[in-house]
Amino acid sequence: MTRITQDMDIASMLAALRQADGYYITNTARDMSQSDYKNRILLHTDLLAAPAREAAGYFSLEITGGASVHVDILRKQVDPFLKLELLRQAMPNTMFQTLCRGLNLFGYRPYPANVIRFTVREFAKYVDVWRTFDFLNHVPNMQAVLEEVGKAGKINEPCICFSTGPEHTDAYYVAKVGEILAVTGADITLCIKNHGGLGTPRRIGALVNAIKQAYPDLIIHYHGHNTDGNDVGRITEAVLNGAKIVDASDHAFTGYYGPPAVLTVIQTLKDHGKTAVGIDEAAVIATSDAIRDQRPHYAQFESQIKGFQPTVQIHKLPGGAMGSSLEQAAKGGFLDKMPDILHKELPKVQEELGNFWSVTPGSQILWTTAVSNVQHGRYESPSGDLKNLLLGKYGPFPFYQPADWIYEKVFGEDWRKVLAEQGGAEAISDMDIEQERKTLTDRLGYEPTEQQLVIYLQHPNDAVNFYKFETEFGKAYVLPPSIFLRQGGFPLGETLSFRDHCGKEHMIEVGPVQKSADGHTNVYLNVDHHERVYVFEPVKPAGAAPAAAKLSKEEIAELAKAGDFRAPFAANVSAVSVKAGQEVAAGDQLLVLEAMKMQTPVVAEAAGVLAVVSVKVGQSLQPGDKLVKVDVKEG
Amino acid sequence: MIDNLGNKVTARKIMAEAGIPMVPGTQNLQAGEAGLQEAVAFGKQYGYPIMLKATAGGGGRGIRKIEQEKDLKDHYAMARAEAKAAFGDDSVYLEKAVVKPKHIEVQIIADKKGSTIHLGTRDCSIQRRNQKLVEIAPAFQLTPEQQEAISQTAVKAAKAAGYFNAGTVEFLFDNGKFYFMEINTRLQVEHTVSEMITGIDVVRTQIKLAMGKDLSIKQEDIHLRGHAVEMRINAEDPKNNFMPEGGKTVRVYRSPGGYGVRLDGFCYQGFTIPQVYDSLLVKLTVFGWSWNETVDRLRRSLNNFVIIGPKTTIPFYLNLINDPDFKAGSFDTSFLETHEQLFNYEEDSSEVNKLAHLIAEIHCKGGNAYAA
Repeated sequence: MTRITQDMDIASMLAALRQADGYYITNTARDMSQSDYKNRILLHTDLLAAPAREAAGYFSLEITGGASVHVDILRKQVDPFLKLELLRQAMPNTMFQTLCRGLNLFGYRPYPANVIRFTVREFAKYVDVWRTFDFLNHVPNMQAVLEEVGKAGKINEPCICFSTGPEHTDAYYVAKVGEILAVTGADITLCIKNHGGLGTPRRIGALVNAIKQAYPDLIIHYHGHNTDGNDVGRITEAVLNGAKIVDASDHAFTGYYGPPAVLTVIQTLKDHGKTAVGIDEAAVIATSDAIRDQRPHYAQFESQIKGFQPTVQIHKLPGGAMGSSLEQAAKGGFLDKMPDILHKELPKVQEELGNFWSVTPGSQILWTTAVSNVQHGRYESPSGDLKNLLLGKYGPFPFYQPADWIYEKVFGEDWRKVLAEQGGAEAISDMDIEQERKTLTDRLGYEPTEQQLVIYLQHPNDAVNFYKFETEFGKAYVLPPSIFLRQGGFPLGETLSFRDHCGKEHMIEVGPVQKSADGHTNVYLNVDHHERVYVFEPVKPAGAAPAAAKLSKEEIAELAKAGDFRAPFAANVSAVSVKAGQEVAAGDQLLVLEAMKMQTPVVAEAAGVLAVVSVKVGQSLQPGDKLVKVDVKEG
Repeated sequence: MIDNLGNKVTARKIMAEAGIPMVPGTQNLQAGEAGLQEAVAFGKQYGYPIMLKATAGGGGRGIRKIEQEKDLKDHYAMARAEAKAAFGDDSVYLEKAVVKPKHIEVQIIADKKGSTIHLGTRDCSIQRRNQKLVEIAPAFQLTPEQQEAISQTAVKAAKAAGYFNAGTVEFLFDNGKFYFMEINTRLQVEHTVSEMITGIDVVRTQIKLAMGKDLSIKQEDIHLRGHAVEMRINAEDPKNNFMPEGGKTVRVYRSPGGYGVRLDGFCYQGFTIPQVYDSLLVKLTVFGWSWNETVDRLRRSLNNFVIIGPKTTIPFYLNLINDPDFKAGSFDTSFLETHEQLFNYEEDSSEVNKLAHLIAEIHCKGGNAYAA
């Protein structure tokens, strides 16, 4: 009955897990951040929690992976590798865990095999437990990651994604476990990934039992979400039926859609005679005491809708996507349509599209399709990713293929031909990593590290922006949320203190703000007793540029036929594939738009010469904004 | 007077006759091919490099350095054409180049009756493109004997020329030897450092002399004490070959003050750097009783400047005053060329300033755009 520490070898670790009479706990701080705080919990807070979390004796701390790698660089301005390095210094004994989306790594679409292997190799230097899944439970999609984790000598934790419905039987899942074990061998921990927090406690207990009947020695790690408020019940049944590791997090920050509180799990299972192995309850309590006062600073990122959502059993959105979905609804002004989207359209779309698992990137496809169906008519404006799903680019449908009428709606009358010509998983050829290194060197103006290159290969533009941010603003992770996430500015005379990356203490006193006649703003700060002034250019008032006349969907389509391409919806430009002066043929990709993490290519409707490119990568667009102009060839 | 001394060749002639040590050089070269032949012969006699100078030039302009005989012909023609265009006089002359000398000069003041005093030496070796950036009084790396000798020589030179009013006698100093260069017949930018170490108001004295009054101070009344340094705060980008920042507007201007800090300038918030004039914003002159104290005060003063809008020479100077050679006083006119590391600075580079910039932006915009 021992605590598992980072320095143990895998064999003794697995032996300890198998022999344990109780159960172990993973603190899923990352999932809590992603589900209940839109991924914004800062490294600063995790470092505050680190000493107590280290003392608490968890099996592992899930602190990276999922969407967090992207959000680290995009919204938290922290280097995902530096984060792990600093946490490792603060927590030498605790294993670190990640959540990896298989072929899609920490992103939203498949990466080439050499990028996957390179990424896993670099992250495996810090990450001990690799929870890997595929949203279609298609084991080949996880293979490259599983192999590299094995090579790095780290713990493989492949997942069976769990959902409910007539197809989701014990027999199906037990067979799936067999398929995984055939690839990995027995020295793994197997995760039941219940990202939606679906099913009843009884259902989960039965599933764990079925798997244990088939594979008595297999170590089962139950992962759930508390969206309906009932995950402690599912955890209890999982443990009573033989699961050896379960997920929970710190009660000072638990919310609605993420993990339940560690302490509640411990208290509940104690009454069943089950002990949380290695756990120091006092340290669990101390962790929450250490970070409780930080929570108010994250209030702006908490859910737009407060309270548990038992209707998750109907819409099945994963906890990790609840926050961002509601945020999109609020920003997009359709929060009032949520009951229709969540309780009517989404379940319908789920069923129509094959009842696969609503988890990244499948959850985004289901969600955007449901939203689009409600807003623009059913399957009237399919995203590029929905098309790829229907074409089988992500892998085969697990139970059944969507009905013909959906294919017809999405691909037109000739859909059978399209499917025959373009269908099936595409072999993604390796990327020329050395060429990418050169490109990154040019963009940064210096030779990147391996770690910088890894981040760049996954999120090229956001990585470059982040590294430039660091050059300009330094290592901003040192700022507490009370500064980094402050809204409405600082009161005159407020004193801000923090310790920089090199360990030096600083004090900044907020001085006056002065606006000059030409619109410049001077901000006076007293920095370590030296007066400093920072000047900001005037902000162009919104609406200064003449607003594009509102175009209807039909008008936009008509203009496109004439070669005048307009943004069909609010989006960001994620790639521009053409240059002015270039000849294009019908069907050539002109650019790629991204909205709600889904990409939609814009293709030439007829052959011609590209006359004007009006956008650049990263630009955000409103519907009707000019994209490119093609001089269509006559005849 | 300016007629005599503003013409460098006349000045050389007067000085040679008075026995003032001089770098070997020529009279005005003859016109055309004959002049070129004179130059070739001079090069053969004294060796290269040699300096080809416009007789009517000044302030570092109209000077060309010639490394070898085969370059002479082209430079000769161009130098004449340029001198004609710039100064309306195409006369040129030659001097042997003293490689890596110190630039040492002496402030002198003389009245019409011929009483002439000096205010000690100045070291103006730190230059860019032959134009001064930093001036130090006294030239403390010279021994007291050398300082005395060079000052007396300056007085002698001024008397020889019959010089009246405030002026500067400039020397090249190399390996303990010094050579007369020229007499500047005007008040120079760097007169402030001499004022700081002597307590003499040179400008007031100059006006009084011009009004015909006699010099009321004697040499024995002049006491040199402490150290003074002037740094020219220019609106220039040192990293880009000191390119002037003409046309930019000073958005914020805050200046240092306190004991031993003197500012001569006219810069203010809203001032736009003119495109056509000098890029000098303000002269920072700092006094201290010891050299270390002076350098510390320079650092404080430079750090207390806030000039936002144009790039300035301030971050470059902050780098300069931390240079071990500068601190040791070990520099000559090649200092910037031999200390390229001085140009490796970042504007506002410290980690805390970067973070403060982010905090200012969060404050200004009412939220963190990088976390939105």
